Amino acid sequence: MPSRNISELYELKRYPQNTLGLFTFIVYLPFGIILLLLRLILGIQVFVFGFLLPDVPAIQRILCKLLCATLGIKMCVENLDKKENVSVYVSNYVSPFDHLVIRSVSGSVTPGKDMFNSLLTTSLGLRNFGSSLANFSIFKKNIQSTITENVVPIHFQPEFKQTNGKTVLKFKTWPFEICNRVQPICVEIARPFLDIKVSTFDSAYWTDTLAYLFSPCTNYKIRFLPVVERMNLSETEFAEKVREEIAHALKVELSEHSASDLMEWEKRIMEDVVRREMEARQRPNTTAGLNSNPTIHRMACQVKEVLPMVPYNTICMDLMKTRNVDQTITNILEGNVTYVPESPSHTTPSAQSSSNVIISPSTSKDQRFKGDSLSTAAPSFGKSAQDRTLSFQERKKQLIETARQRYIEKHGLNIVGSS
Amino acid sequence: MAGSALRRLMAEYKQLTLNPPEGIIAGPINEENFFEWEALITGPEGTCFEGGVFPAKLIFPPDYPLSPPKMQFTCEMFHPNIYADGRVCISILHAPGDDPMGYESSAERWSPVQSVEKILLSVVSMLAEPNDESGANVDAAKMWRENRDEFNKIAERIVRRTLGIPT
Repeated sequence: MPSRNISELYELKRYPQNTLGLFTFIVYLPFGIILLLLRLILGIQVFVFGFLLPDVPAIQRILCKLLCATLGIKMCVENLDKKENVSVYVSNYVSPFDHLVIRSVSGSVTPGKDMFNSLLTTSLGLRNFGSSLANFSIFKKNIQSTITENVVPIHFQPEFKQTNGKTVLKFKTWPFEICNRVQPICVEIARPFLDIKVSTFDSAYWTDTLAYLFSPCTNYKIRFLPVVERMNLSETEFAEKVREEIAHALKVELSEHSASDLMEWEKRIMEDVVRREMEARQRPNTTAGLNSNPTIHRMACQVKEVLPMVPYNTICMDLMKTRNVDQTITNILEGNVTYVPESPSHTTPSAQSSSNVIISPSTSKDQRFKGDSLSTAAPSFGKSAQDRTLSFQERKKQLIETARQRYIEKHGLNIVGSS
Repeated sequence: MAGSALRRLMAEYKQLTLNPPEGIIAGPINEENFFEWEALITGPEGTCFEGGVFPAKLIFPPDYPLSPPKMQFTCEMFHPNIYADGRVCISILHAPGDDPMGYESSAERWSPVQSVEKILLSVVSMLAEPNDESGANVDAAKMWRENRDEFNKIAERIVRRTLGIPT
């Protein structure tokens, strides 16, 4: 398939996974914690100001800068001279604080929830236009009147779902129904020195915020793109044109997925997790002793990832003996461990029956050496990569040769041997 | 992430090496990249693809087995559910939720309890019974419906070609 998998649009781990990254992370850890504490103190002060000071534009601007400083956000606007005074800005969606950054460079507000009080909400670059879920038409009308009266520029993120910036999701088209002239903005985000991801697949708003406070700094690169006029395009075409501009400027591809596709994918993964947890809870008490051992539990989870159809208890029992993930996997695959395969409730009957087949130890050992059968089994699984590859090549050749002989015999062809 | 994908692939490789289904073989082309496999599939008996040994390549995503691998035949193929470039279009290679071909929801989908072996067996049954509703290759689907003799002839030629027998 041409486009990226949905899972590639998420980061799965927040912290660096390679050795060098991990080393840097550990070295940085004490500094990070001190920085986090200092920034927390600063943050508390900003909040106190936010509640005490009057809600006037000058104070909003100062608080906006202070909030950026607290979060360690460094902005770099590539072409401020290209900025035009339009009533609608449109950008991609890469972090939970895009609105704050866009606010401080363009003075616009993003439709969103109230945060604490009106001064802090505006300083964060948000404005409450009513609930889009409860009454969408009023929500849209509120925004529309703001645009026509030109009170304050509006900033939209028509992807309506944060991604890791590797693609631009399909836009929702309703923002493009209510405006005729938009300036697209590209937002790119990077954390120098230490590659801590902005958000992960299952991270919450507050953990993302803590990551901002902990990281040395978070760099936002902002680029204003030429204004796009609606002319006589339909809203879908208009939205697509803006999306193409942004994706082109970011040099990323256009995704076939929309926010709702991503939501569905997340839901599916979460269901999977919940189901596993339920299964874990339903386990009989006899394994209470096993469960209480975190090492065994961790290793059992690793085995379970590889062999989802083997019961947890069975895995634990074998791990108690081997204390080794790979050894237990080998034991199970070689049939040294007997168990009743368990199948997740949602699979179809055919999947159940064959998952038994997949994992049950072979009964066809004697077939293996029959020259004329199409069995491709190897007598053993080589210990080294080289042995295995050799055996693989050998068996491939054997299979083709046997099939060829059979074909020639069956059709009574007059071709002798093979090359 | 990649660690558990690797471990799982190694386990499946071992399983397929020691207890493969008849007429099927699969494994990494080169163990330096465990995410790229080659598979040989024998055409099922009693079908027009009988006797052929069809090579295909499987590409696994780094989050395997959460996401399904992609499969592509590397020999010439003519089949309603195989694109002209060899890509295979069957439900088990799609996770539930993404539905490019408009499959019914009841069809078997990818999930981590599936396996390479299940995919290959599904492909074998796909060779035996094409699903002419999802037309990855419209010409092949049309011929399969309307001119079975011609279809069988083309299949025969492909079978011979895979075996290196002159047609």
